[in-house]
Amino acid sequence: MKTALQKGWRWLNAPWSTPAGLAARALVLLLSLALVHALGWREHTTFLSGTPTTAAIGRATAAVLGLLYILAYLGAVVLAPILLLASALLPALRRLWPRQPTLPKP
Amino acid sequence: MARLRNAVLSLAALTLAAAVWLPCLHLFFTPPAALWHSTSGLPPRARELAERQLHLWTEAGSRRQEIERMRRSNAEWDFMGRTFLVWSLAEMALREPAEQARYLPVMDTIITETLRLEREHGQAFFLMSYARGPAYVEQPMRSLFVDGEIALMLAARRLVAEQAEYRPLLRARVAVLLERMQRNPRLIAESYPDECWLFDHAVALVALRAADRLDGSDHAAFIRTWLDGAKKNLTDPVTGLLHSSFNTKGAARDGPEGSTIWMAAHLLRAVDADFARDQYRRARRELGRTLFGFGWSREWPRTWRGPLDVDSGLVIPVVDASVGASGMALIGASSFGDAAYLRALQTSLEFAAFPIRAHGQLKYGASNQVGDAALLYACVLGPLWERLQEPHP
Repeated sequence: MKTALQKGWRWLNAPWSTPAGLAARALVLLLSLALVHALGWREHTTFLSGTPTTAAIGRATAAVLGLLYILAYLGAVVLAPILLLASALLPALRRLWPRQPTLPKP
Repeated sequence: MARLRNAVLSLAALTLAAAVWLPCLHLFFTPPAALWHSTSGLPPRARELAERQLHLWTEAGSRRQEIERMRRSNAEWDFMGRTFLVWSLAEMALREPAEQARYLPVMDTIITETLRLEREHGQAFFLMSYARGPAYVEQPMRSLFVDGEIALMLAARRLVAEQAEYRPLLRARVAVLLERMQRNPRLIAESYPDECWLFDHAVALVALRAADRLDGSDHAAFIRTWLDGAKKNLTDPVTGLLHSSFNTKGAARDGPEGSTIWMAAHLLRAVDADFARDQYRRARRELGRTLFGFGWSREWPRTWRGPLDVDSGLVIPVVDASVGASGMALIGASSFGDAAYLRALQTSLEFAAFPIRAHGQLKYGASNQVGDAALLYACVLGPLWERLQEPHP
């Protein structure tokens, strides 16, 4: 169990210039949208029309929640697929530009 | 060297991925044409939107909550939400005659309640607070905005099915419209103190046309004179688009605006189809934009910049996409059968307006009741304008 968690944590912390790192960041973006969606913050996007959500919640709070939802949505819909595609393309690009062999010291 | 190589490769991969993904993104949001359009009956999107609107007008609690939150921002939206819904229901009743028994009572409820509120609180109840500020130039105060839209609500109801008690009400309202416009040598009337709006004049002209169709009056000469005057005096010389607002001397206050011109062009189609189409074409050129399958409308042409207000709504920088203007562009594109632009606008709507569905009802998260009613109108408009063109029976 501990090993699986450690592996998962290592994967999430992989450098962004690796396929795993790109995919991990895409996953974080997708999970962010899932979270704010589950919290019902989609309703607060009504601030775009200049209309408050309900009387129970302040106008400023609703706008902040709506803005966070929009950022999470754009992250998941626009950025995450780009990151996933990039993670698939990166190994192919690496083969096109192979690493230079290290010369032995004289 | 290895770090630089990794960074360059990652950036190249991200650039390539973006070049693939961004042009494809719209494919996931473009709705099939049949969802939004049908020549008879209601398209599925219209039915979902209509169910939500009908629910609001049959469940008093939901309606009160929705209207209260709109009125906290703008009392006009309460009024226009009623207007757009009555016009939509008239179109729906003509598309689905079998459903008239369901739609007509809701139209009557809205009209009756609107007239009651106007009677009890005055026209200012449906206006923004500055209507109570400086005095109107013409006294006693009346708003062409309120008179025109109420007249067209009454007319729309009667165009679907005659309602005897509305006949004198429409006649009285038409008399007020005419009397107010004829007080001014340019045939323009105030909606707010020393503010005259193209939108409201276009509504008034259609109401006059509808009265001619219903009651056999003849306002053709007045309408022609008004249009001739507007072409000469109320038009932006650079774009050829009508100004969206002007003072009582006819001087432009706001130049051409997307939040006005798309709907105005649709309205003018009922009284001068060629002029209306010309305005639509100009608006499409000056304000309509598409990129990667998405469509939107600017609020102002490049040659004119106005202040942000409740009509423009939020304007997204760089692309200058106006929320209010893009919503109205749906009505214009639908009215003039501009299928490609309409599809691009609908794609943007599905992508960026956050549809929320529940129990067969649809609303857009980024919208409100008046916005959703306008979207419904864009889906169903058509038969009412055809009926307007028929001669008085």
